[in-house]
Amino acid sequence: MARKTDIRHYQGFLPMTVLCMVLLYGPLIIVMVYSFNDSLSITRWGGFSLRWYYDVFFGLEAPKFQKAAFNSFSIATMAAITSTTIAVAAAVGMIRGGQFRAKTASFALISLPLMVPEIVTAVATLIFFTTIGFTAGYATILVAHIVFCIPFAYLPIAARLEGIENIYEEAAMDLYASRAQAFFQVLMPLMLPGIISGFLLAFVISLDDFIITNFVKGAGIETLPTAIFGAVKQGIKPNIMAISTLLLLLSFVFVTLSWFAGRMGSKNP
Amino acid sequence: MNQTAIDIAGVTKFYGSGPDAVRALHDIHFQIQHNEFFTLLGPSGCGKTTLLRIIGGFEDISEGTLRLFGEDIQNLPPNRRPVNTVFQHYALFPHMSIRDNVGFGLKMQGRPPEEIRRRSDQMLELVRLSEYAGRRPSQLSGGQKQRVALARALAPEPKVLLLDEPLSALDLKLRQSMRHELKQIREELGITFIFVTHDQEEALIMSDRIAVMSHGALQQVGTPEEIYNHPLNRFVADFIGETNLVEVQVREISDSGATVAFAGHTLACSVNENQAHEPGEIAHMSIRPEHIGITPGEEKGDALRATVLRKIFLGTDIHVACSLPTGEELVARVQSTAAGVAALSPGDGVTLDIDPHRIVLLGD
Repeated sequence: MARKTDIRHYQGFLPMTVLCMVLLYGPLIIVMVYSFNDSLSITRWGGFSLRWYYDVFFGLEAPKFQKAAFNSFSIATMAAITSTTIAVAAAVGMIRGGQFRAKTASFALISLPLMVPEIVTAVATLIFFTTIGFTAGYATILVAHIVFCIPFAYLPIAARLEGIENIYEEAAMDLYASRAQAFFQVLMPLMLPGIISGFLLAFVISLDDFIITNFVKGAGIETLPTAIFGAVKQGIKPNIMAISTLLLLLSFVFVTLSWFAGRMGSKNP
Repeated sequence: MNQTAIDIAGVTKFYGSGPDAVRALHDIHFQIQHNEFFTLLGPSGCGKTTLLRIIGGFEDISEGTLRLFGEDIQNLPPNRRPVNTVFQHYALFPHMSIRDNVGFGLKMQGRPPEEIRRRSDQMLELVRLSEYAGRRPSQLSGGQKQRVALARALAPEPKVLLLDEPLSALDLKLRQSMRHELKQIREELGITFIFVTHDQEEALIMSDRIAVMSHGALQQVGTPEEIYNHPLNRFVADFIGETNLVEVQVREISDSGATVAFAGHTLACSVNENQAHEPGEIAHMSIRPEHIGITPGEEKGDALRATVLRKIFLGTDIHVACSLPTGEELVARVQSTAAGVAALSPGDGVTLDIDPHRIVLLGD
């Protein structure tokens, strides 16, 4: 029975898989391989070398990329912490708050930013910031990132919380814990895999964002994606491939961590 | 010594409001004495768990009062009631060791660490799980988790322990041994247990007193003997143990009991206190199967004659279902060794002998 329904026995499964894998990961592999190319050309192989990695850290453009990287990581860290905190509060309110009016509407509002085209959010955010005269550069990017990271942090946290029965909080309260103690000593440790997962997702989303950042950043400040875009406009140099490979590696690490965090403790709730 | 631990007066509980409100509990009155093993018994949906949650502080009361040792506690949140609960699915904290689970209540009370440690170990010893102190709940079996839940609830020395169907998830053998263990632990510690179950056998075995509930209303409160031998109404008679519920017509009422007409015969029976019956009224009567005797062969005279319908062998006992000439069916439970019973087969004529001291006229 299982053999018949096994997807691997469907006709055309293998060619379809190969096609998808090549389309998705082929370009990434080419970028990774050519980041080790000892040649100025981005298409002709000239032997193995780490020169472009050296160039990224110590070359002419290194200060620019370092500054951009610092901005990206500091903004991603703060945006992820803040949005995760807000997402935890939202999840507890939505899932443990019982039935309240406009509950469905609240959920739609939280997850709407995932559906709205990013360019619309970007334009709207820019108009909003300009209208209220908030054009600080770094701070505008941070605020915008906090806002659009909330739904990404919310989803894994809410999913985790929904799987936790409220008998644990009841048991804690029964054993003389105040509401705050029940939350911090019992509910939060149980939610932790979801919280870590949400945090990492928010971090990666912030680190990687280009459209909104590009609209709201103003002159004189760059994050890694906008700096890379700026550099590419003047022609693609292999150092861009080295930066991209480093970012790819980082995303890979974060996604892996997020996956392990999501599995953590799920076997024995 | 006869101190009242819990006093429940006129407790009514509605879920929702307005015309859609569902009444979960209706005007419940009873008192639980200190040091008593008190059981709330009823089928699922009868409101017993709601009542337990009200005592624990997880639900509020729509009407009525709830007192704990004379103190009105209905407005106290669960963490400020000296009452602990053993939850149906244990609710052990999965991220803490067994020792930390047991010590959680003491920690929240702000007791010093040495005392928490000492008391947790003492509790684990009480439930014979000392060697598991460092483990996680996921590493324990169902029965062990159950005992940890018990130790955790007992550690802060509550005045009253609430147990919400704590044995329902265990298999039969384990359940039987836990029944004795629970009783023993209660006697050792001398605190009040309020136990919720739908298992009437469990309730009869363990309880000092039982409150039988149905449809959010209290049906009867009494010792297991009172509940079994003198059920107040049809629901209690039917829910506790096995019985034959038959319709009878009341003939005469006297101080000592009543006589009723049943299947063309006149039977004497007892009447519960405070229960009004009038001659001529149609009422119900409970006859326990073990109070019906069977003699093979149809005797002459005034005896109750019947025909055997089925026979079920139960080991020490045999169930014999008989039909009376007037159509009623009665089940008798007799010892397998009783004379002539083993040889009975469907269609045989028998004479039934009902013990008049053991049959009860029921209220509605």
